[in-house]
Amino acid sequence: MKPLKIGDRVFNSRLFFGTGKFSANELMSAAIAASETEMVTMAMKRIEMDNNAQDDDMLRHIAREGLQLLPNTSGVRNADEAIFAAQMAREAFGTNFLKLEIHPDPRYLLPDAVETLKATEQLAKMGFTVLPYCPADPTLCKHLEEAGAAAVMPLGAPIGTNKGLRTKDFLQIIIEQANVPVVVDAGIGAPSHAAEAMELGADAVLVNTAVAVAANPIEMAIAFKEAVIAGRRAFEAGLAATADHAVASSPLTDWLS
Amino acid sequence: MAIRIFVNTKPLETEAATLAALLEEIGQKTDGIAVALNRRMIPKTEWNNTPLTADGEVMIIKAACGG
Repeated sequence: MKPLKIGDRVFNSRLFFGTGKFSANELMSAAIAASETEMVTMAMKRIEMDNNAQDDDMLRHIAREGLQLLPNTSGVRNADEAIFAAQMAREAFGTNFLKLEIHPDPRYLLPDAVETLKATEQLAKMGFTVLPYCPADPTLCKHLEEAGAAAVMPLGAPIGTNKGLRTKDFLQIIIEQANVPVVVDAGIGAPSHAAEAMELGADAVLVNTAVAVAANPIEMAIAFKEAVIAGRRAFEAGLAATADHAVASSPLTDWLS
Repeated sequence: MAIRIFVNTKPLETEAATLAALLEEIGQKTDGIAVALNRRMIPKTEWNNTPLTADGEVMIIKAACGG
């Protein structure tokens, strides 16, 4: 399989991983290791003044050689807040990589296209490697690319819904038109969804909830790893075309008559 | 002379004159964090010469789990 380049980094794994919703940090750490992912997203929080010493530092559980951190801007409501969050993230974690997410509506957590575009433009100029989480809108994705996004991350379905590629027709257009990597983010609830995205030609997928809340997150992480590899291999091998009528795969010679 | 500032929205009386002194006073380890004063990110290299003033709002963040 071809490696994937985003910004100045080359990734052999096309499975990116979120760190939310795991029942324990140890389990998260084991699932990340089992997935063989090379990039994980994480969020930021304010230090609790009363409880700081007892608070288990999640970074300790994900630190592995070669692992790229992808801090996100979750919690921001507009471009100005996103830029502030990005500066804090770069300072705290020492990376230019940034998952830009601006979703002011808590019910559906749908990304704000206007603010996301505005923030992408400014953050790219500030030297960030911007991966914007965005609606599966082909025109917007081209605008994000022109604004300096290092990749685009269109959604398959709303965050945490596990509904799969509800935006499939639009993802297909985005992939066809993109000159930057396309990472399908959000909504991927089963390994089959991840394989489907990879078969379409997505460059990577980002998975979190489906693994974190599985009965056995470690096994599920392996299942996703295998699905992403299978889907990507199939894409690179070139999928057979579909047809409306049967096309025989055995010889139709009338040897019985 | 002690002044009152806010650290992550909590009021705090402090003798610290600079951001660096404040972090030392509250026993905050300095790796894996970022600090803002009055909504402006202050790089680690400037903590030493960033003075604190009354009612200043300090924000300290660290990593959290998230997708």
